[in-house]
Amino acid sequence: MSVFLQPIYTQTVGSSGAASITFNNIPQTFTDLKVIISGRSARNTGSATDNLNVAFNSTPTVSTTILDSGSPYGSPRSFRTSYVFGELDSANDTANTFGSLEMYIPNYTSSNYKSSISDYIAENNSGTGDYLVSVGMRASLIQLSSGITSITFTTGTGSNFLQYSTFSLYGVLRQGV
Amino acid sequence: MYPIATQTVGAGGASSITFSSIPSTFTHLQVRILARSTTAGANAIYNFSAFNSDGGSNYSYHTLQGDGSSAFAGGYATQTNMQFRDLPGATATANVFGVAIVDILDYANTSKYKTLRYLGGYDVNGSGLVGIDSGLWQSTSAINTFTINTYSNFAQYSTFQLYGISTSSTTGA
Repeated sequence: MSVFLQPIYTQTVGSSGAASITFNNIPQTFTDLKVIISGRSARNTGSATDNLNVAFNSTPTVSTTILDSGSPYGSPRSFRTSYVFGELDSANDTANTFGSLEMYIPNYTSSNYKSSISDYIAENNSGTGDYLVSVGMRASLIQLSSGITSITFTTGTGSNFLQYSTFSLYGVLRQGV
Repeated sequence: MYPIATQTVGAGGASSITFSSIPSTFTHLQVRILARSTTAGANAIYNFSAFNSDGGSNYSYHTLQGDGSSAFAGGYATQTNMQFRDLPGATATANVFGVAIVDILDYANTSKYKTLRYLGGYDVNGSGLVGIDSGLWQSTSAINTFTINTYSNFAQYSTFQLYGISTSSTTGA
């Protein structure tokens, strides 16, 4: 078993979908946290991906700086928003295709604000100029002065996460722990 | 995170790198690359292809790339491979190798098409490239083999490492 990257929790969305995913009681014994998501939203209005919103300890006090491929795809841009950590495929994307996202949160037990980095892709079998594709990176400031004990994921449109979406939480240990 | 396989290119170079007999016992795959191409020019391309030996037009990919002064984004549907463009070529500064990390989530899930999330780049002290790219293979089959090549050879000392990542059986809900 890898000591460096230890699985903590995994949730897989069932056939009814899920409005949100929450990891509770996150142990405070690791150095960093890593989240891996393979997700798809039920959003079926318009041709667009869906945002992934994240709240820590039930508090969406996060600011985020973004570099992404633009909307439609092919119009690179950088801007700022709050508590949106990436984009996922939606119901109008190529069938069976799920967005891929990773989030890394160093020093998550700190009593100071926490920084994080995330990168993501939402694929579709299409070329440039498509609203159903997105790739990007986001740097975020989690404005919490306590350790992260829970993380909740929702979609930006309030749509459900679709069946087979998976959310995995890992703990990372530094040398000597 | 478990090491599955490692390939290091020898003195003669290598026209392609193939990982085969990939076990289905992990949840995710990660490929870590340190590579250089003998393709003419300063910049070269990784081609990810032949997933489960599929040579059909079942792939698409999208690129977001920067060179330090401008950004480029492009998308390509219905392709026979997935191309990622941050690999140093034959005329890049000697001994500089590009770095890439490619994640393939739920690679053995037979309810999902397979996507690649690519982060890569290199710098030669004056120029360079960095990119985040996506790839799609339209198949629900569990991945058991795939190939990475470039238009010429991968240079000696290029390394390709394949890792498996497991998940917890505890939900934390």
